[in-house]
Amino acid sequence: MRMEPARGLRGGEAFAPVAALRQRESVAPLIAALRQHIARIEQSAGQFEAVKGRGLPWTCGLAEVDRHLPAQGLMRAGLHDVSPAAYGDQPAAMGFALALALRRLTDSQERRPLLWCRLAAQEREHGRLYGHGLEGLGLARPRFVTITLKKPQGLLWTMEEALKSGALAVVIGDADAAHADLTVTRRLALAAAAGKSAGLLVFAKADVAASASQTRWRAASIASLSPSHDAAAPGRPAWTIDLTRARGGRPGQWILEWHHAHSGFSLVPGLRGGAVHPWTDQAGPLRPAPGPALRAG
Amino acid sequence: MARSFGLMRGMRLADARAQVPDLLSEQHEPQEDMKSLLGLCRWMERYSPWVSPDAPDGIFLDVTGVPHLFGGEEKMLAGMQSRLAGYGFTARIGSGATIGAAWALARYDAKELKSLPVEALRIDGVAAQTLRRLGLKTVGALLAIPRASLARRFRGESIGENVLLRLDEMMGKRDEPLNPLNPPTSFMAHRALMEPVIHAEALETVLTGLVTQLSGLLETEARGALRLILKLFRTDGSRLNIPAGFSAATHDPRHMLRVLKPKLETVDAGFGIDAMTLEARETGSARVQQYGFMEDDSTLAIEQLNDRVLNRHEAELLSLEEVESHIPERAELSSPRMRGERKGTRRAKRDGGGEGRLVHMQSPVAPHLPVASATGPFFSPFAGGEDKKRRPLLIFEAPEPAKVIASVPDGPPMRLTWRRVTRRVVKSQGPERVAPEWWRLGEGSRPRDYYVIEDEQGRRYWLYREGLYGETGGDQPKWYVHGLSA
Repeated sequence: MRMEPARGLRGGEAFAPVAALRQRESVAPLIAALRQHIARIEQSAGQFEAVKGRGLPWTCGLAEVDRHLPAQGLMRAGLHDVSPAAYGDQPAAMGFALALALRRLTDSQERRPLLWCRLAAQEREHGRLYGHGLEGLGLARPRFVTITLKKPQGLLWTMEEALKSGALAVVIGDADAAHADLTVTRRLALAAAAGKSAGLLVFAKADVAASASQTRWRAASIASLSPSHDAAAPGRPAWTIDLTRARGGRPGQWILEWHHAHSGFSLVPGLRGGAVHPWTDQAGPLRPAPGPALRAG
Repeated sequence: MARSFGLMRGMRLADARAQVPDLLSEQHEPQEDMKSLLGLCRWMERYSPWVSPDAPDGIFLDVTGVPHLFGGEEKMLAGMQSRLAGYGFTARIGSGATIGAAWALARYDAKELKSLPVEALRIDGVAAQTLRRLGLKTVGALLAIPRASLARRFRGESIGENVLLRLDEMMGKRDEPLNPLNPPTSFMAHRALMEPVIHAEALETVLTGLVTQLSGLLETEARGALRLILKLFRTDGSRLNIPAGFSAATHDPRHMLRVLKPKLETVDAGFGIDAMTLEARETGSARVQQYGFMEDDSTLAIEQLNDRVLNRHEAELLSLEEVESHIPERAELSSPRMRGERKGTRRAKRDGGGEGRLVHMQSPVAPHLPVASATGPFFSPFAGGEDKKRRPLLIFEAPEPAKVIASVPDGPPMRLTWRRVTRRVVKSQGPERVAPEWWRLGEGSRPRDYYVIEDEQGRRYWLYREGLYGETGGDQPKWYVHGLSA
């Protein structure tokens, strides 16, 4: 409905743009209605509905990151993916998934517990969850439940049941690309919407199949900032986070640090070009920043 | 019947063959006979759960209150007879008000009890012969005799000699209980189908009806089921048992249905199922349907989820509980989220009498499920993270051996080789000395020095050195990777 430049119009038709202008005034509600219609078709209505007191939006707490997420943050009753960048980054991916889940649970109205479904093979490979370590990341024991299953299909079934039941706030599950395909993830997303719980899949390998999740993250470890009192000690958990896909948002990359005391992220000053690590001055395996997404400070 | 051919018990096979030339004979296998008798008993459970075998060739059934389900007593008995005939059994069925009467009427033809011969009293041969010699040939004649004289004359060790006892049992003056094969439960729902059913949807419909009926029974008695057994009777005489268990006594029909339905899907109906029984084998008092004011429905929902997953995959929801112990792998116990009253402290029964004590982080409001306070429910109480001992997110069940090179023998690691990959250590924190528990010195464990290290890629490991350098008489210290951090 752009106004065409008046070319070759005679005087009498100069009023046509004015008429078009009058029509434009009714455009904004029309566009809003169209957006809602599309949202309903895409069944991602949560993004465009106003938050009707259902709880605080699920954000990372950082403006730089939240700018890339859809308007209401991550979908509170939806499915999200985290995968490691390489084989050895699995603990980082799990830690980041837990950090995201804890962000979801900062809502004081949310009192349901968190369930982590583990695969027995994963437990043998990378270890089982340790309650003291979970506390160290900020999760209190009374609200943590875990279950270990032997088969991936059983795990996905359990995740679906747990999400549907609405008894849990967040359900994290170990997944692998072979079993968590588009159909299965779609079912999980629907189950999450039904039970108003959030689902988080932590993939075992870096290569991931198509998935119906709302946001897809990739995590990799990165050297941490030593605490001030001990220059040689490891500091807070820090990860290179890659938002590879966000429905209704834009992808981005950041280096984030997790503060368990207030369950929040902090952004590490970004890197450009030569990708020199700010703390250790080493040339590490970092990807160069694609521009405005990473900015210093 | 064999007697009509001139055959008697205890005859030799050759003599028998002489009497009846084309006699078929088979080996007598009493155990197999008993097995098939028991199998037949189980099949008869479709009529009533009070079934007891009467070796070697009889079955007792208590059909109190049952005949109306089958359209009356005669129809039921006729139906039984025809079905048994269909399986190849010739059966003589007798029904009476007491066990004795039923036994007698099954084996001896008589219009009424009085005209039964004395052998029908289940007494042994000697007593029966004595009675005949005395001129007492029928039960009616016995009834006319004064009881005291019978008691005096027929007294003995075994019940077969006690004529009066048997008479009283038959007449109902003395109670004789039936010992059923399976202890019957009072909470049972039963459906007999007019036609055998093969399809799963039809089975589900019947199951829904059964569950509704059973939950109604349980609710009126304020009981809940802890263990359920669903019995499916096939037309070929076999029976399927499907068990289900619950962590908390429940009489919620939807929950029972949700747990039983998936199990029904794997059922092989054979040629059809024509009767179903749902029994609550174990019941507990149903919990009071009132939640603490901080709780909400999610408590119940979690238990039901637990039941569903437990019944389907035999894995249950566990919570990680703290155990007071210095040794990291003993400092935690994963235990099922149980309902019911929890005791304040429990002795940990790990490693054959472990010494750890379980510390439950609970609030007194809801003893069976911890309730979070309104402020920051999910955050651990340790706000000053730097002070707390650092622990990894993931811990290995068995610490994995690793090769470590340190600049000085007692110093922090500089290079780590683990799972065939060598990494350079950039940061490390430690050592944290974990001494073996002195009350377990008998095991000969050595002290450990834990280090939290970070390699050049930022991956964090939690490893320890077991043993000290320069220990006299000990082996070289070994390094192990115990856990990984995020």
